[in-house]
Amino acid sequence: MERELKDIKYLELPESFEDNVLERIRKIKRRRKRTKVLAFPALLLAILALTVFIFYSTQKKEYAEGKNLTFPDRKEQISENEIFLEVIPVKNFERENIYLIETIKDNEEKIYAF
Amino acid sequence: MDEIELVERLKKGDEEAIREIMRAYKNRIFNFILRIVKDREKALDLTQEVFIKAYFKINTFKKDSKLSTWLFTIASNLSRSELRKRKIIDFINMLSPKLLVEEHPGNSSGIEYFLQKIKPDYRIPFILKEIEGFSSEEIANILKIPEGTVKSRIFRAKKTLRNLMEGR
Repeated sequence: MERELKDIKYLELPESFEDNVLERIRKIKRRRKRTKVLAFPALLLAILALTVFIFYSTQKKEYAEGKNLTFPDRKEQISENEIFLEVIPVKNFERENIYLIETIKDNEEKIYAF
Repeated sequence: MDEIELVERLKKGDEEAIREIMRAYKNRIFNFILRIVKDREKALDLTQEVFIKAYFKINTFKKDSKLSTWLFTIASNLSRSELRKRKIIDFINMLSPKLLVEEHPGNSSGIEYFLQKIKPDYRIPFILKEIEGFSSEEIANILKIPEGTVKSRIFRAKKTLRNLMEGR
């Protein structure tokens, strides 16, 4: 067995083997570089998208729940009853809306947006 | 070429360094993998993989170990992973060893044929010891198993191989 083990021969790989490996290495390097270049803008975009999503979902929630908000002085008042409709220009909102204002206490109001 | 210098060059991303390493080890690594996976194309692909891994993971190479030991560790891990992938570990003895005999035309002695009949767990340490010339300690490092286990596996491999060769 020992003698036969000594007779074992190696198959030899061609010279092109090294070139093929180096070509694969260069491809991987190029791919990694491309990924690095794209990673930062993609991350930035994802963060931006997430921020916008969170901002708008919070705002919608505030509308839906009739959360107490602080508004600037009313421009135009339609009624002076305890519950009345009015048009309020609010900087935070994209457009003017009609709100149902419910007075809870003297200085506190609950607002519903439509 | 000094091994340490080659490694240092490789760490700087020198492609010529990996070319020199390939020239020195490609045939040994290829034949080692071929004896385990028994598929020429796969062995060629895995040999390429070994050097690609070596190139990108050179920072994990410890200075106190030998480059050959490290390369054979990668080769061994990739080969065993390939065996697991192909789910042939349990069926290895049922497969025809003809392919490898054909892959090694110079091996008319038939030892390659009988080598394939040994379980991979025993065959790998045996090849590393008797064909690649590593010490038991180095094989233990390559395969991440205790040195005693290496010795017992080589002993069992030899015993099985002798029995098979005597009965031919």
